[in-house]
Amino acid sequence: MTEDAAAVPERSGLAFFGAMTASATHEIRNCLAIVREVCGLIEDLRRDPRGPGLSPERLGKLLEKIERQVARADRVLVRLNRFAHSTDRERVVVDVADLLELVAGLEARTAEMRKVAIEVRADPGSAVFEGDGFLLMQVVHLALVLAFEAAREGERIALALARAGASARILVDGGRPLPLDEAGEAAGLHRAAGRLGARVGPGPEGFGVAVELDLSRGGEP
Amino acid sequence: MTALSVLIVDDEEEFAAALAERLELRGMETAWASSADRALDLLSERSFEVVLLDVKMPGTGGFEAARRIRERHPGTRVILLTGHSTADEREEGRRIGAVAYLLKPVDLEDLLETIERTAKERA
Repeated sequence: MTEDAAAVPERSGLAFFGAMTASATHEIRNCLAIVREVCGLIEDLRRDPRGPGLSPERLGKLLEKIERQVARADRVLVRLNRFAHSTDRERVVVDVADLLELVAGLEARTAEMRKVAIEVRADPGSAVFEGDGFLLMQVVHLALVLAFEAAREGERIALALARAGASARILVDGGRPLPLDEAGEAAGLHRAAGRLGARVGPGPEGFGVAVELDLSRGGEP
Repeated sequence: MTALSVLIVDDEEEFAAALAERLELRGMETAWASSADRALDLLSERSFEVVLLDVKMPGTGGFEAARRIRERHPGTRVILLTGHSTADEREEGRRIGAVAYLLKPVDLEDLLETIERTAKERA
């Protein structure tokens, strides 16, 4: 393989980047659509010759709606920007708990579409990983995809982090066994984890996915 | 002349409520629902000439909802609204009988024109 060919990102990495970007931009569009309609409504009420006009109370409530949407879009943009910068360098030092919070935020809309919730259980600073942060997010994403497929409406999927000596375990667990056969749906997860030097297997009692990260090896396969 | 009846279906409740009020100010009779299931319930209680349906919603999505509306209420016209549009999605919309496919944020004049044209075609 030539150096240039090696530098071309894997299709699955691009697909992950695309899925996260599409989801975030879709949500920003929704925020803008609300802002546009509420601004339009303010203008309509102000100009409506038949109605009582626009009271200061009503105007205040409508402006609060706009403020809420601006704040919501800003949160999405902050996450999207952090995510975009995760490809800047192949080797970074990341707080795994912080990374899980970021992935949970990026995946929140997908979870909402499936009527499930993601719950992060990770203590900040409990595990620090040195390696490819983007790839680690992709591994968590691929585990979440399996958990989403298995989950039923109203269920919660835990993103839990536990430190044990020189290793850390990320558990993606919706309380259901997941298909982790390397030749099946989980093939991409095993490949991405292998590139990261991580091991993938079932979680406690056979539920969910456990990703074992060797923190001492600094993310080297 | 009776007012045009429009049902807006979008999980973004503030969008649906604001748009409904704007259409009311222009003489239409509106209702809104924040899920496809709730919209189908409303349609079983009373008829609407036009349904504005968001494509991406939690649970039953817009395409599936449009299919069910066309099956159960063939006289009701469906206009799809989406945050992003691909050629595949537009084709899917046409295939299931949606009369238009509009991109959010929607231009109100375009929307009004589409609703009125749709209602005339229905008549």
